[in-house]
Amino acid sequence: MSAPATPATEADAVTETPRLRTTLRRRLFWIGAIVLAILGALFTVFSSASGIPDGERFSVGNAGASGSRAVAEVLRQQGVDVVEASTLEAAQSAVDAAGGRAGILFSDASGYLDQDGRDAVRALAEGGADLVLVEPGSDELESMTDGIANAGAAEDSSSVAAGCTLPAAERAGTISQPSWAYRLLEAGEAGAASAGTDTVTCFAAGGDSFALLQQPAGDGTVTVLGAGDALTNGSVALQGNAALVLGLLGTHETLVWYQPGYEDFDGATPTLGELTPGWVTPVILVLLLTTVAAGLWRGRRFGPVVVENLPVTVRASETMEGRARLYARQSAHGRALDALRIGTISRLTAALNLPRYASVVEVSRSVANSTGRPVDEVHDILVGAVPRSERELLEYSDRLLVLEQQVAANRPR
Amino acid sequence: MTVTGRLVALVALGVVPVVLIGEFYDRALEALLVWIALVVSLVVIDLVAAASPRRLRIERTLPARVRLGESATSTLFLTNTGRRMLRAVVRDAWQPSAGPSTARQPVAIPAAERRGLTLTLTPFRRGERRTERITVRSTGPLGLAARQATLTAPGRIRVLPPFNARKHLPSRLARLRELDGRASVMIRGQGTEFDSLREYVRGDDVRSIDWRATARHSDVMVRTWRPERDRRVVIVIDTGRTQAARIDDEPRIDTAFESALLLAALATRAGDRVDVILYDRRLRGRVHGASGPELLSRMVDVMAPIDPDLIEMDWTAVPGLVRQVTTQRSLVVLATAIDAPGISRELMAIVPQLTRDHTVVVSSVTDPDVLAGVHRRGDREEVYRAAAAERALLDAARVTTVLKRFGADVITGSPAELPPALADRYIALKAAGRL
Repeated sequence: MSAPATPATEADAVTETPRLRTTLRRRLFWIGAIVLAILGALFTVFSSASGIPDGERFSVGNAGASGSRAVAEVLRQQGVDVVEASTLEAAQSAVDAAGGRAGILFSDASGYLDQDGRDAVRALAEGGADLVLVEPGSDELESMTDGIANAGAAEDSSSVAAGCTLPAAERAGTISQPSWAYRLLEAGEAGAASAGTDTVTCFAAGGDSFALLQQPAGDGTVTVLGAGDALTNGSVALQGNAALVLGLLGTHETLVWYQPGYEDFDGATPTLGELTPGWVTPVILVLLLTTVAAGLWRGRRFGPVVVENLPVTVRASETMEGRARLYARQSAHGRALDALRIGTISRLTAALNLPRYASVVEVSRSVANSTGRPVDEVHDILVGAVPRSERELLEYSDRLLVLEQQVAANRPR
Repeated sequence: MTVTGRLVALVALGVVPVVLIGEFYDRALEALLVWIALVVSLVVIDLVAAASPRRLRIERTLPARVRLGESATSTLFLTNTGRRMLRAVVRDAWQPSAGPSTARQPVAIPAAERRGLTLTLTPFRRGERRTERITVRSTGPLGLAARQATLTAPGRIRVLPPFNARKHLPSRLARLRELDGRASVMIRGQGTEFDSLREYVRGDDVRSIDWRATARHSDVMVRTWRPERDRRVVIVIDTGRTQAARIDDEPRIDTAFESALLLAALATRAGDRVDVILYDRRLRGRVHGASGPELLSRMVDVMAPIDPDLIEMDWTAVPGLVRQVTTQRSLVVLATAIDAPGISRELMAIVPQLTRDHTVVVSSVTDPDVLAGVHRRGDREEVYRAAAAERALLDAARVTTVLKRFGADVITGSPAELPPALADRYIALKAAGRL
């Protein structure tokens, strides 16, 4: 019966899995939507110029009022090769590439460069380059100039006249209000010029302070420019600002625009990124791709899930268990003992061959006869006693069992 | 499309060139990109070179029926109609309760050839077990990627009730033969239909001596009797909600099926006609007018897919159903559950209608857990449990008393005991000539 017939059922293989083409067509909307979203995001990023706007002062890339793109662009148009450098190494290699004879614009408002770095920059000037320090602080003045000190903010005045023979300054004539003024240290002051004073001072800004000072340094020169505003896009067109800065910076075919960045800071100890070999990131990528491939491998389902209706599993004794728990929770000892007694009495009735409708009194009398126990006691066990606690319930339940066993043992055969 | 573990290993292997080239030539990123390009192109080559899983012709060879607890062999013949060698893993998506021996089978089929995949099914649930589709994952020659397709290939197998109670059949048949006059010793009272006259042998009941025939012959003749034949047995199986409850991990309805099968096997051998009705609120199944081996095979076939429904049994329609089957006096067996007076009210209401015309036997499964619970009184929980068990027995006893007063016979027993008990009752009724 288990295998009465083996009919061959031939089925035409109908494919349920859609072809790639069909899937693509079906998902066209979503694929299009995702592509559009990505394109939109890319467009938004690129349309807002270059990601993060460059807001640094004197930066070549900054087209705002505080930037210096105008000056750099004009210099480039005039044939000057403006090289941006954000690290000392880059600046050094750019100067070296120009054979040591280059203009260097140095601006380090955040003070990233340390003493050694500043010495290295001055060494470039001594090697033949023309170094222009834009609004230097006292640290820079101390290590990169010879006897020039900060003189605080320049006096208020709408324009300042050159008043010197420096060609660039002469051509400029007047410049707009400079920010900072500098002075030459008197002989005897700490840090005063060691080798005479062949420093040219221009643009007097009150007292003996100036907005532009130039002194020779080795084969090159060091120029201190207090009128930093003259470099900015916002002010370069005022008065002789443009003539001044173009004259100062356009002396060589190469201008290294050096603004020390974060990389110059604490350059002595290499960072973790510098210590790790170059292949670490690609290896991480390989492992990532492996994870993705493993996910595809294990995650691909082998066909659709099979559905099956399963029967409910209900144990028939659940209702009995439930009723038992209800009795227990309510501590219904009276009701529980009643049920036990009814069961015992009906079994005793059968065991003693009494009629099915025999009264309890008859049953207890019979049981007493059979077991030899007093009728009152038997009656008490079977109906009389009222349990007042669970302990008594257990006690009576045991007595009922004992009674049944005694009757069964004494049963006439 | 899918990828294999080999591809994962290949991608991971990319660490070696990336580290080596990164260390010695400082070109780790380029090495990575080249590696990715290599892997992707290998995957594409593999996918293009893999045989199409769609170009398959499928045939199934499958037995129509299997008895629960036994195994059947299902063979799936796959013909590769494509032009390339198909190396694939095939999943035949049987329902879990069909008990397939394995879920995935590897197969290699050259172009235009056919291969058979054999699967052993050992179902663990009665009813119709199906498979709707197969999934073929065809791997490319490099074993890096695979094409996957799901193909429709329906198959079904009917899992019949196990009829474990058939082990009781030989002993009951022997007792039936004793009644039938075929056994050597005839005891008067076994059967009521006059059969024949034969010579007296020692041991025969002297009361059965036919004196008139003895006078005609020169020998002492006795009358022999045989049980009535061509009586009707109507088995009504309740398929309502109470039959879903499990006793000894077997639904009540399965016990009812076992009892019905044993009774039917016995009755049809005894020459009685058996009708089976499966009913709750609508007719779920019916076997009518079959006898002999055909009766049993039709019964198991009808019973196989029937599970209890979560609806209340409508007893009021049962007398009408029985009347449709026969108006002759017959044995009506009601296979149901006797629980509590509230649930069995309708049953109690219709039993008098049936007992007026028929001999009625109500068979019900009792829970051995309940019976055992009565005498287990070790602690507080057990005493309460014993009380609840006594209450349940009392409820059932009240229903039983009412049914008996209305003239019905009530048979109760655990799932293992009920089928032979019902068979014994049938034999007793037959012997007493009450059919």
